[in-house]
Amino acid sequence: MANPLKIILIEDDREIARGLLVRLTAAGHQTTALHDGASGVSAALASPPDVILLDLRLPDMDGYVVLRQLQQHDLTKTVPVIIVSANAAERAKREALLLGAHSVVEKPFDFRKLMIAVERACSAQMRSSEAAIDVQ
Amino acid sequence: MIFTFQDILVALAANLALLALAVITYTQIKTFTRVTVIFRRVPGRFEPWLIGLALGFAAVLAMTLPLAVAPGVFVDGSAVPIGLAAPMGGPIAGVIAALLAMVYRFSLGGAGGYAGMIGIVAAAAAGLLVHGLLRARQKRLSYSHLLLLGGLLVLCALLGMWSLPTLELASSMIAAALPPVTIALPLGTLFLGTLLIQEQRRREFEERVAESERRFHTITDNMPGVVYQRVLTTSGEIRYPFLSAGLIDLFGVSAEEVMADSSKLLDAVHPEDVEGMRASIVASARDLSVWSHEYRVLHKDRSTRWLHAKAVAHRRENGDVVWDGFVTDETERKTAEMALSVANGLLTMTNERLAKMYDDAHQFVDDVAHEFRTPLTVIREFAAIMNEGLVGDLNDDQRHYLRVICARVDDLNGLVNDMLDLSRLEAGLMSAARRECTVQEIVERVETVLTRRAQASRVEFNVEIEKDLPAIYCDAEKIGRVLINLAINAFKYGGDKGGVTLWIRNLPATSQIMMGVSDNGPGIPPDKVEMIFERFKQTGRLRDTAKGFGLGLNIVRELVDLNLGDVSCESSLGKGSTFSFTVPVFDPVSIVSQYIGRMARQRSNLFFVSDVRIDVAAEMDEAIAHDFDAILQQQMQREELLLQVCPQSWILLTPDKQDAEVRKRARILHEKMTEIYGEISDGSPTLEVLPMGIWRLPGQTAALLARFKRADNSKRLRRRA
Repeated sequence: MANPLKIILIEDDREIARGLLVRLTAAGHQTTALHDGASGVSAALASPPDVILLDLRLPDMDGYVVLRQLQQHDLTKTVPVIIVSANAAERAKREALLLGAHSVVEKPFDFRKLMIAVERACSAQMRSSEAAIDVQ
Repeated sequence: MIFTFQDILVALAANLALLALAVITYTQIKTFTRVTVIFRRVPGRFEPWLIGLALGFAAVLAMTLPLAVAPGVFVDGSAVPIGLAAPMGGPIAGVIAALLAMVYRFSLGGAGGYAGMIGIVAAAAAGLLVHGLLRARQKRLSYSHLLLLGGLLVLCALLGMWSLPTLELASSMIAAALPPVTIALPLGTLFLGTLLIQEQRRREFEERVAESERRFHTITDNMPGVVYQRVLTTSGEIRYPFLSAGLIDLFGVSAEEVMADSSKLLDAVHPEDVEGMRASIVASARDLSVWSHEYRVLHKDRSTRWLHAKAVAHRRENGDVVWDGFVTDETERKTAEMALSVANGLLTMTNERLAKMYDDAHQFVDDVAHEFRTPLTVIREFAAIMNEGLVGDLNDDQRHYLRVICARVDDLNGLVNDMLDLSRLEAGLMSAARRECTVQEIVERVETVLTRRAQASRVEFNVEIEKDLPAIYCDAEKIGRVLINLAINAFKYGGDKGGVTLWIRNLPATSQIMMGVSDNGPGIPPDKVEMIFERFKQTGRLRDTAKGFGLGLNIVRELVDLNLGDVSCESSLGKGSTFSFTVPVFDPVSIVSQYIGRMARQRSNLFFVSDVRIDVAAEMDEAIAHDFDAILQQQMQREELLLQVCPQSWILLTPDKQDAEVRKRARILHEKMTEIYGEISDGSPTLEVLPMGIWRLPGQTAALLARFKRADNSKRLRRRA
């Protein structure tokens, strides 16, 4: 991995969060894991990351609400968000994309593919154009 | 003996007065006789006879009071009734009146007898002439006709006088009598004629009134329901001056009883409804609105009837409010309505419950999938972490086992996806998001997964792809799933020494690509191969899986079918099996012809396909166009075909719809896409959804394909990198 990234992970399942944290850290990224929507949003606002990995089912609010709140703040609205979800419904994906998510990665994910999505999101962010690529 | 002008005029006037009296008497008798039973039965065809006789007698009466100018020579007004007879009662009346007068005149005799007869005949002829005139012009007797008749009668009198036996007598008669006759006869005709005309009109009017009344009663007494008039007097009293006979059927009280005592009617009204009825009557009386009210009546036969009354209100000069209206029995409708509303309520509840069950079922499947995937993610993650040595070194066996765990987790996840798809397919919810894509895209999607999976199963796995393959038209995710399913089947059943090859080659002859998975395992006996595919064809049911092949082949067949392809299988015992399927090349004309071919196979008769064009504003950028396409894909119904022919233009083919249904579909699509497009593009969307035509197939296949050839030529198709 070329550039170490600052990543915020919002995921309520602590094992999944831990696994991801281990691998992202091992890959050299500075990663913070939060387990609910509210603390995720405030962490992102406190220190905007390069990319946010977001689960759709969270204990306090669903991922769409988090997405909307992130979009409302100037600090976070340009941060690319990758949805990492076990929700298979097409309309869930569509809604996330419509709300401005960069892409959707389905669980269980292949870590390499997740990293490709992250790279694309960050490079897209750097070029500050391009748009949604649906990465499976 | 010389008479002066005045003498003759006075005599004629007296004569006419007598005639007038006679006519008035006659009309009175007629009025009287009409109401008596015997005369009312006199058929209409005797009417002319009666008129003839009456006017004949009138003439005779006139002649009984003549002015004798000379012995046997008279001047009288008899010409007037004779002349009027034909115009009033027709030729028969004219002839009868004339004959009667002639008989009498003949009996009088005298010097003027012959001349008198001529005068009478002439007067009758004048009457017939006027009658003929009226008939020819189809007009009723009017004042101008009476004046004409009067003039003619003067001429007739002149003729009568002229035909007196001696010239001397004639000339003295003319000299003396002509001036007064010229005045008296037209006036007399006018006077008597008017009396008779008025009498006739009055009679006709009375007849019309009587007829109308009779009709009214016949209708109101025989119609279902009640016709009535109600009066609310200024003192607050309610009366019913008129009620039709049907009242007894609806209310159980007779019309006569209620007309005599209006409280009898209110007594029949259901006690709970009396107050409401009164209130609505008062309200209608206040603003003179149409009174429309539904209420119940407790009939004498102990049944409860639902009645509906409607009446128009107006106020009389004395302040009374009068309603004219009708009451109908609405019991049946009301009962049916109540039954219907109960049934409707039940149906709505059932519907809601079913809809909820349906939603719940889907939610359940989604939830189950979610619940499966979460632990699978954890297992896979930790196995991968260990396998990658992130938490300590491992030996080869350990690493292999962990790879097997990862591979089997992927299989299990594939199974979860298959189950999800099955549930969507059965609910008719799944359609493929087919679009232009490259073979490379699909291979990238599956290669890593399958390589790892092969390693875990210790199977040699090769991928052989022909060079320079054209772009294809399919849902890349679904085709990827098909390949994974077929490959995993091959890994499982292909044997231990196995080698499995995924190959993709071009079939230019049919504008298709063929993808397949071959193994060198034990193979499948021919009858079994037959059975697998027969089973698909015959039942086509998703739950009927071919034994030993699990869910996999079923889902494969469905997914390939969604992508306009066909699955085939070749196998020889001891050498191995090949499962393969086709995917159309991205070429609109051949895609459409394959689509039509599939539709025709599913339908025995001719069918219709409608063609709808979807265009967006040209400035839409590629990323948004891609999103737009994805969303458009989700709006597709099964059996529809969506083709993006250039970045801003799509063609939608939708089968089995009437013109109106197609327009409705286009409208809904337009509304939905405008809304969504507005969200993603932040601009005012310029979107057109245009139904282009309905094609009768397979007859018009060539014409439909020609349309796509044009679309193909006019717009350069974009090849996505």
